[in-house]
Amino acid sequence: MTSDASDEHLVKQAQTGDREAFLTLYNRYLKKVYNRVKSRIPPQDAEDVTQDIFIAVARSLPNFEQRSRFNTWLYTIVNRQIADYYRRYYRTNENLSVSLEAQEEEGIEIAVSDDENVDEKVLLQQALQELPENYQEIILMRFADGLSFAEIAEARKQTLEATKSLFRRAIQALNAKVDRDVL
Amino acid sequence: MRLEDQLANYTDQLLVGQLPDELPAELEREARITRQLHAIIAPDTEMKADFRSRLNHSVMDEFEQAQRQHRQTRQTRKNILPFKLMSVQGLSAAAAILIVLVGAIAVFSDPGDDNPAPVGTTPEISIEAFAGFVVIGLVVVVGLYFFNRRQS
Repeated sequence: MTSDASDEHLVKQAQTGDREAFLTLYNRYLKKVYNRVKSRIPPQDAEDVTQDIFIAVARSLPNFEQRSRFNTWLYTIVNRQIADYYRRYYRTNENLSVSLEAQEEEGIEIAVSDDENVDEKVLLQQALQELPENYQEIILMRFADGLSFAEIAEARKQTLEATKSLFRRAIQALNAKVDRDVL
Repeated sequence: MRLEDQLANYTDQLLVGQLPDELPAELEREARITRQLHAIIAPDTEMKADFRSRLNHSVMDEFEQAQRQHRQTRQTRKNILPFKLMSVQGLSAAAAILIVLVGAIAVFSDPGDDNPAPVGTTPEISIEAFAGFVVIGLVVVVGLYFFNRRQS
């Protein structure tokens, strides 16, 4: 299977059970997906979430009807898995904060991490996660996928000027969210 | 140069590892966020080899398993569905024919009380009524056709 075959062709082949076609698709998107996950999820969990995403892709591929482009479908799975991760994360942290409060009440000393970088990173990841879809997408296309602004403009069927304006608005929105969360 | 262009250039320079040009004060906050994003989304970070190998195995195993399951499901559907489809097709075709026949009989046998057909003559046919029944029959047939396409 040639590595320059289109996604659509590879999907069709993979749906007939062609291992090589699936492997080509997987290798084509692995790094992009991993970067996207890493940018939105704490590093210690990024590997597990990446694995969950590709397991979901392998499982759902036979039923993918190609009504949308493959990468759109794939990134929908990425977003869903990340949202699931944060649902679990908040649930666990709620339990954790309840248990910490209980320990504090009982006078047990709690070690607090003073690693500001970690806090800042988590804050930025959470703020990114809360941005509107088109803002998240343009930031991830530039930073995680490594696409140039011209390539992003082409993919989004926009002018270069409009793409750069959207990028700036996305950065401004992210900045506003981070500031709000800090305060 | 527009502020958007300056921020885009700044981002490009940052991503290729160049020392970015100085930005005007009004872009300072955006530049800070851009630098932070660059720090957390470093596209050149390599995956750990053991993770990559573990991932390859589990994903390819899942792919094989999903394909096997899909083939099985398709085979099962193939064995069961033709019977079901035939029943649906047969019933729908029969319904369509019945509608047209009932319509034809009704139109031919009941010319209306006000103007009965004389004995030994052909009754008057309401073309509109007959056409109505034909249309209903056709709608059923066309519906059946699309239903079949969807199933196949």
